[in-house]
Amino acid sequence: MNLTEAKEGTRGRIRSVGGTPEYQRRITSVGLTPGCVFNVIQNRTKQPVLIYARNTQIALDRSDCEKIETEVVS
Amino acid sequence: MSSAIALLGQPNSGKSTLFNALTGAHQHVGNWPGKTVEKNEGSFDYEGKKIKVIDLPGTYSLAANSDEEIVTRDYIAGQEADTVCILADSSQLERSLFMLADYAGIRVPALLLLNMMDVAKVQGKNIDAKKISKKLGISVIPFVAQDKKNYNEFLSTVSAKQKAYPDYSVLEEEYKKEFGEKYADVCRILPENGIGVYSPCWLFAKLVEKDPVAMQLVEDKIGSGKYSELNKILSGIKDGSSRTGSCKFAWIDAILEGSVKDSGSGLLRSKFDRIATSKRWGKPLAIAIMLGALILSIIFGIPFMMLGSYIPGLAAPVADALLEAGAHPLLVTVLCDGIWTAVGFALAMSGYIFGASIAFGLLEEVGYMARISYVFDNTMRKLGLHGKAVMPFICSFGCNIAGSSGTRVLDTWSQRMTAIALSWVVPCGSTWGVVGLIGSVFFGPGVIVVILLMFAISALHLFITSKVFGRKLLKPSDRTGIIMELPPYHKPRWGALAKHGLIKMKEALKRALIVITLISVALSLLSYSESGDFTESILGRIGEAIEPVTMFFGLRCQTFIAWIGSMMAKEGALGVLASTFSRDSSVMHALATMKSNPVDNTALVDLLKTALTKPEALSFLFAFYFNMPCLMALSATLHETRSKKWTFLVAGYYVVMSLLIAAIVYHVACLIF
Repeated sequence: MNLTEAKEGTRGRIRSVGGTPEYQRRITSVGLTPGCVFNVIQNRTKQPVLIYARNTQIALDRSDCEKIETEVVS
Repeated sequence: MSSAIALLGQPNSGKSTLFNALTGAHQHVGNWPGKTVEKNEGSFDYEGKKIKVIDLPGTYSLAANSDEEIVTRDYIAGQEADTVCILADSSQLERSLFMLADYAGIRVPALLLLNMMDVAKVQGKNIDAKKISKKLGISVIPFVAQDKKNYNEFLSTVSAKQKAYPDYSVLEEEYKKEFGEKYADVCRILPENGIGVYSPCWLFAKLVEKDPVAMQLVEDKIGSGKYSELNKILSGIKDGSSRTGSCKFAWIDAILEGSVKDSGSGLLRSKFDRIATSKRWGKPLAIAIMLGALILSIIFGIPFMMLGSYIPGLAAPVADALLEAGAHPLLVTVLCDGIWTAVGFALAMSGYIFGASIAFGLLEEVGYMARISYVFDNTMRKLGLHGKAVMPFICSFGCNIAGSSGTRVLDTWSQRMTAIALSWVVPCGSTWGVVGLIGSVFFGPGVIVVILLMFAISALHLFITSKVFGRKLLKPSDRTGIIMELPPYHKPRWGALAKHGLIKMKEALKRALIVITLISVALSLLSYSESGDFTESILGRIGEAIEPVTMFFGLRCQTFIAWIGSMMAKEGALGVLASTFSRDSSVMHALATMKSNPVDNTALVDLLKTALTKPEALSFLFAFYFNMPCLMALSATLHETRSKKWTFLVAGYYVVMSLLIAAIVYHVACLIF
């Protein structure tokens, strides 16, 4: 399941991050790496996905989120 | 020997608070050589020793993703600083220690400041700095940057020269675990002792992350033969950055294990934040707050603007005095009409820059700017940009110069250049005075229709321009989507904001004075004639000679000259019109009097009504509105982008587009009226 499909208010874990090396470098530097646990704060069409991970609120481009594979954590 | 320290940390880690508290008034702002990255330097005295402080740009890592990061890395590697003070935000410790993890492996002495300990305590976190220090092998100091009373430990540590750099042996183990034999394979090819301050471990990570600057460095050092051997190993490693990233966070976890007790809860979002990011209310709220900021910019800038508009009024008495003293009229024209007016324009404009950098700096500092970027991300995406690019567009409604320096928040040069090129469509504050006056003279209340038409064409213009320049400037790799932290809301630091505003204003004033003085001297010389009749001046004669051509665009000699004159300063168009039609004074003199006395337009109104037809007036308005912004904005763009080629290409494009739009409007209007 990629990040755009994650439901608001749920908790998830990043399984893998795809995309170019540039994209991986940028997203790693804000703390999003495989294994990282996050809460989905807001996930609505036509708005970036808003998640909370490592004590930080982060907005991510929707189409970029398709490259981020996640799994649900209970 | 004097010593130097550098401050390194992620955005919102409290770096600039510490910098301001340490250096007070002893600050200097410049640019890093060859880059449009602000360089903040300062110094302070401690126990008789002078210590220099460099505030490195706030970035999230030491990857070579942006100029800021490259500047930061080069500075650290140059070993100009004896100690690098790495700041981390204790309330987001895990994430903000990423900077330290990216630093680990660089063999330059460092210490770690655990800033915002007070916030962390409130959140219920208990952090044991001594334990962390033991694991890292460097000094680790609990810290609150706002509270100068607790600086003692930091000051005594930093003044006693630090010799240790962070111990990265555990990080190295993580890499070995993750990458297996490949780690040893790569290190075998690298120089045994690394390159300069960069250890093999650090270089390994950067190579795996495909960091272009580090790859070049290694290639230059080991030669292309060995490098291709290295490349063979590296090409077998996929997703390098996320894998080293996982290693770095595993290392951070190992350091924090047993040192941090967290009894706090997760994110608590305020009601305001819910509204600020909501799909329905986010945009209206953002627009209202930005309008407020625009008004605030003008209010803050008013003292300077008033001073600026007062200066040209003083030109007349000075001119009289000079003439009486027997000075040549040409000299008086250049001096009083040219240079004197220029100073007034430049001062008024930089007043707005002062106001805008405080008002919009305030939005940034309290943390709201990120929410604006969030709600407008989708809109900006349609132009090939992302949410962070919204700010230059808003600032441009006041002044396009503020707009172009607002693009510094963007990630790459091509995004900046595109954002500036597009933000030129936005009409600055001065444009409206001219459009309002001339429009209402000819069309009365119908001016609303004219303005709505202008907006509609603007939207089209924006779309076309994004296609024209977007294709050339923004390669798919430059079209990066937004990755943005929405920081917690903070209280603003007014002192620092005002200081920053003054610096920006000085910068703008200096550049504007040079440009505008040159132009106005040239203009006053060209429009000078012995008799004072404009048509006898050089400019007047040229204008009349080419009128058959300019009439194709619906521009007469006078309106064409006014269109050119408006490139110097937008409001100047009215003055030029007055002088060229009334035939009794030079263009520059008219610029001066219009500026000081903008309300007395009745004479101009009568002149215009008899001299121009409605289609001609429309043609002038559209040519004026869609022309490039003033030359001061052009110079600011040149300064920001450091590209003559693209700046002039964009400027030329705007000039052509404005004439094209004017021609279409004119010929259509001729059919209607």
